[in-house]
Amino acid sequence: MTAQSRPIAPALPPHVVAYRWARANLFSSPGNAVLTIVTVAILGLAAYQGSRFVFATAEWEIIEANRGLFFTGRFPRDEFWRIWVTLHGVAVLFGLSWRLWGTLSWRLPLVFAAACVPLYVFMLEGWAILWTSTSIAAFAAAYFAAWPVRFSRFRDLARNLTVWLWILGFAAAMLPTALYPSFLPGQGGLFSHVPDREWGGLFLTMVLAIVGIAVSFPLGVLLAVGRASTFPVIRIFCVAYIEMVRAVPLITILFMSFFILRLAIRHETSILGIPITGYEVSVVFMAMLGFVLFSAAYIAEIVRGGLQAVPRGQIEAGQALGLGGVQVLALIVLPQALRAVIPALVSQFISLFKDTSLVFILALTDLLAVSRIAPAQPGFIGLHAEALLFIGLIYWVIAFSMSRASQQLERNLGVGER
Amino acid sequence: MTDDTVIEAPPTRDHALGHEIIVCRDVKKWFGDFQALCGISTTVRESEVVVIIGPSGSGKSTFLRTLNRLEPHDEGTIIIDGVELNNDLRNVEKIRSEVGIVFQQFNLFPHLTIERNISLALTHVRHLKKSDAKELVVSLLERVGIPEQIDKYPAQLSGGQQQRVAIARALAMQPKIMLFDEPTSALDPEMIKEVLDVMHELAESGMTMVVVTHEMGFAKGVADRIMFMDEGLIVEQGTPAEFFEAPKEDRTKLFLSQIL
Ligand SMILES: Nc1ncnc2c1ncn2[C@@H]1O[C@H](COP(=O)(O)OP(=O)(O)O)[C@@H](O)[C@H]1O
Ligand SMILES: [Mg+2]
Repeated sequence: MTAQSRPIAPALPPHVVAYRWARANLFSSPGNAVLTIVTVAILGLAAYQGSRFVFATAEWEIIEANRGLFFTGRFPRDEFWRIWVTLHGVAVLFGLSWRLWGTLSWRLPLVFAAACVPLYVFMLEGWAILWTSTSIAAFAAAYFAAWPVRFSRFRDLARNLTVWLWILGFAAAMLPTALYPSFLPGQGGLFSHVPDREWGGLFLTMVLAIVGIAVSFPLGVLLAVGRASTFPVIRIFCVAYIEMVRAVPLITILFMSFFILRLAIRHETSILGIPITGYEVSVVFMAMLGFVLFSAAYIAEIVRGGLQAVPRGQIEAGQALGLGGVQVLALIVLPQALRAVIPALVSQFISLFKDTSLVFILALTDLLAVSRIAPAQPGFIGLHAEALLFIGLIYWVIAFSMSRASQQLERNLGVGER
Repeated sequence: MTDDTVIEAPPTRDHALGHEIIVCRDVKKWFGDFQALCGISTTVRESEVVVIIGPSGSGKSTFLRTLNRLEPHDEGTIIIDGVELNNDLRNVEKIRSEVGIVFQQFNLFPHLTIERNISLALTHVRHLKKSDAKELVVSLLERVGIPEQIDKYPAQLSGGQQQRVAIARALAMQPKIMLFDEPTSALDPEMIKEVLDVMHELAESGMTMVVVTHEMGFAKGVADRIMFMDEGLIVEQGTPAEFFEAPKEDRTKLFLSQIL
């Protein structure tokens, strides 16, 4: 310690520190001073107008009166339980995963929950209060149920089980959408069919985004690996696919999947008496397909960058140990490649999440579409600002959480590297 | 490193050399138009330690890497423990699990702990149970002298420690032959000895080793045979005593005069 040898400067009172800082940073020259004053004036005005709108003039009844519309579109109220059941399943799986892998800190969900408060204010009403509470309870129960497993010898088993539950749960949730409605029993009964045109709001946005991300990610990885393949047929196919999709606007792909693919699937053909096409496919499913096909190409290009960043010596070291090609890829190359491109991948996921708003061109009522419908209703005419601000907040909370989660993931996975 | 100690007697090793475990006949290899190996013929007997020296670009690494088919050769035959190396995938896999290699740049897997680095092939190639694999990992790390590093990641270790882990990783497969490609060239001087000591101990235990190195002290003290390569050919070979005391070829003399 050299504190003894140096004269200790007396601590300055805070107002002096602030004064000096302001002089140095805000008023260092006349020009600078003018700039500071003008900026502060503009910011102040904006803050004043903004908070006056939010707290005084805004007519938030439009959100309250339309909460069903904002959160679920025209989804029939009697069938809400389906969404809640799914949400409980997701909560349980999240709880398990959080404990079993647990690289994300608790700060993240707390920040997320805090950011969601304005949403709860509008959302919680009647049964929703109960269901929201039981979802949170389900999350907590699963988390604490998995508590002792984390450091026991059953951890790997539990992890495998959880992964399979995620996959099976996802498939189970997807099946009715994909097979709509050919294989489903008619109206009435437990699994009476909710027309996909009635899906909407935040629910539809989330379904599109989650399916888009969850399916396009593995597909993109496969395309990237295929592009690096030594088999010319595979490589050429992957390159052709990626370059073709990247040359076409998303909106075109959505239109094509709706007007061309959907009609093609609807048209009856059969080979040897086995019907190949001739099914009714839901619009939501075709929209998902469009997003997946589009996003996969971009993810493939991102992952390709990661694959190239893995040194050749890593592959050779794996081969020299007797690992096969697929093992080298899965155990050595991909983990390193994906880690290197987490930020770019998450950017792509966030883009996809926001791009789901394009489904309004297929006449689906996602979150953005709702914000245009709501202010067109009698009694709420013209309240666009309120609606847009509300959905803007929702988009922001979700996108921001994704971005923060990616940063944490990157930090935690970076352990030991470099 | 230059080590001028005079060799009194041929290195004594407490084991006899066994059958011919590596047989190379007229091995040739091209990179495009460039011929990197111009007809290598040699045999290595079980438990023999062969040190390959030679100027940079002479094909030492290429030759070493043809021995476990990291580089496929274009002409000639390579027979490892009775199995010929060709495009037959089963042969390649069999030979790779019998031939360990240690690289100049370590090539540890940065995303895995030391334990997983070593046990990866045990669980995925040898299909050992995790608990059995871990036992083996612990004993291997003890053998290379760093059992306490088992839960760390490669980047948290010094170069010398990393290279010792790389040796342990190769040994985990219980290979019959170990290949070393300049294992100490990327190390700071103070770490070279700890790696050479491990290699020395390995040679003492009877491992068949082919070592590319510039460590003349190691070559003199441990090798049964020195092989000098230049321009894709074996120019001269012999016991360390013959080789260092009475080199026959002019190119060998020139090379030795430059490095000693
Ligand atoms: N993958 C490759 N492609 C093209 N040329 C190569 C490749 N690997 C090695 N070479 C060439 O082959 C020659 C021998 O290389 P190498 O075996 O690495 O030499 P050494 O290990 O003796 O320094 C060098 O001229 C090198 O440039
Ligand atoms: Mg070399």
